[in-house]
Amino acid sequence: MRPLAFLVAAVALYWPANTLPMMVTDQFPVHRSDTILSGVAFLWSEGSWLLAALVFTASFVVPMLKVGALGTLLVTSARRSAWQPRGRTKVYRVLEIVGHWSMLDVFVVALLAAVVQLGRFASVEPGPAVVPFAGVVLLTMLASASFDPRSIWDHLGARSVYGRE
Amino acid sequence: MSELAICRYCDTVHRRSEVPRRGTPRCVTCDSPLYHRNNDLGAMLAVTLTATIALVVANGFPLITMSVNGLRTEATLWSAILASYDHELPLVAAALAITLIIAPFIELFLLLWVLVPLRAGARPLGFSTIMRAIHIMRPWRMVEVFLLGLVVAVVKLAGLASTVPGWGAFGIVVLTLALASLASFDTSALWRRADQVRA
Ligand SMILES: [Zn+2]
Repeated sequence: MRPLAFLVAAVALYWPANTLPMMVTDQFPVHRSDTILSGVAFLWSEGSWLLAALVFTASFVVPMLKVGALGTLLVTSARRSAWQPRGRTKVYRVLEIVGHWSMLDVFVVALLAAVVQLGRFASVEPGPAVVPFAGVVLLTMLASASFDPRSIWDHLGARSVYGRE
Repeated sequence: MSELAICRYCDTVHRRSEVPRRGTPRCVTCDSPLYHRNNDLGAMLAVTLTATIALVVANGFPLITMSVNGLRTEATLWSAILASYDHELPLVAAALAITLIIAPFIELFLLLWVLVPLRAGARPLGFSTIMRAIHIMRPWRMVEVFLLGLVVAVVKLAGLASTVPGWGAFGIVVLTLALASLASFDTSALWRRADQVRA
């Protein structure tokens, strides 16, 4: 039940992570406060399409797919499902690989806050979404680390032409 | 141990001699990659040493230097962590310290701890515990994600000021490449070597 607990906690943080400001920028006389998605929209409007697509994928698409995929894995394993065990194992392997890339925006905000400290001329501050956002990423990572992929196969009986030794 | 390969996703046991010689070795049950073919411990030690030096460089030198209207500021790994701490985000500061400094340092230190004695023909102290610790540590280092973050930050700053990457950024690039190369080695070669040494 540990992976489920981590997943539920991640889902609880999902809303504040996406609705609160992630980064507050003062570039005299302009004051901006951006959520994940408004930050992506701003990049897009400035013509940085590649960057906008990258941040959108890492910060929005990946966490959403991760929560959905983990939920599906947990439910099918709990029901001892025989549905697509190879496919589900592959989904788990993809989760292991992409999981940590969502920390991208946390790193960007931390770097910008460290370097852009020019007093009244310009400053960047991390917004209140940084903690719940990092929380979603780390909790979903904990959920997938504590999920045992063998639970996909445990009830499926004999496993291999070489047998178990 | 030496002649078997166990799939870590479904526990299927394979005889290495029966795994096809060509292509990526894959589990017959679940199709996951079984192991990497690269098992040269000397090369692994060289890459680990390179990564360790790169990590020291990444920690000791500025990542980005920005100058605007005669003002110059720079960000190091540590100042990025301190900036989060100063903004009353100790949890974020801790996450940065763990994923960018502590986890890579521990992993590289532990790898050196096992690789150096194995190369010299001795069984490392606490071998199996350390191997497990390395395995647990791995997902929590995020150097490659940080490298992409550096790129994004530099591009975002381009409109505001002239920004140049520093030696620290070079360290991050080398570290990312070295860690990616480390991931392509067969860690079970370490187990087999440790068994030989004991025998
Ligand atoms: Zn398998």
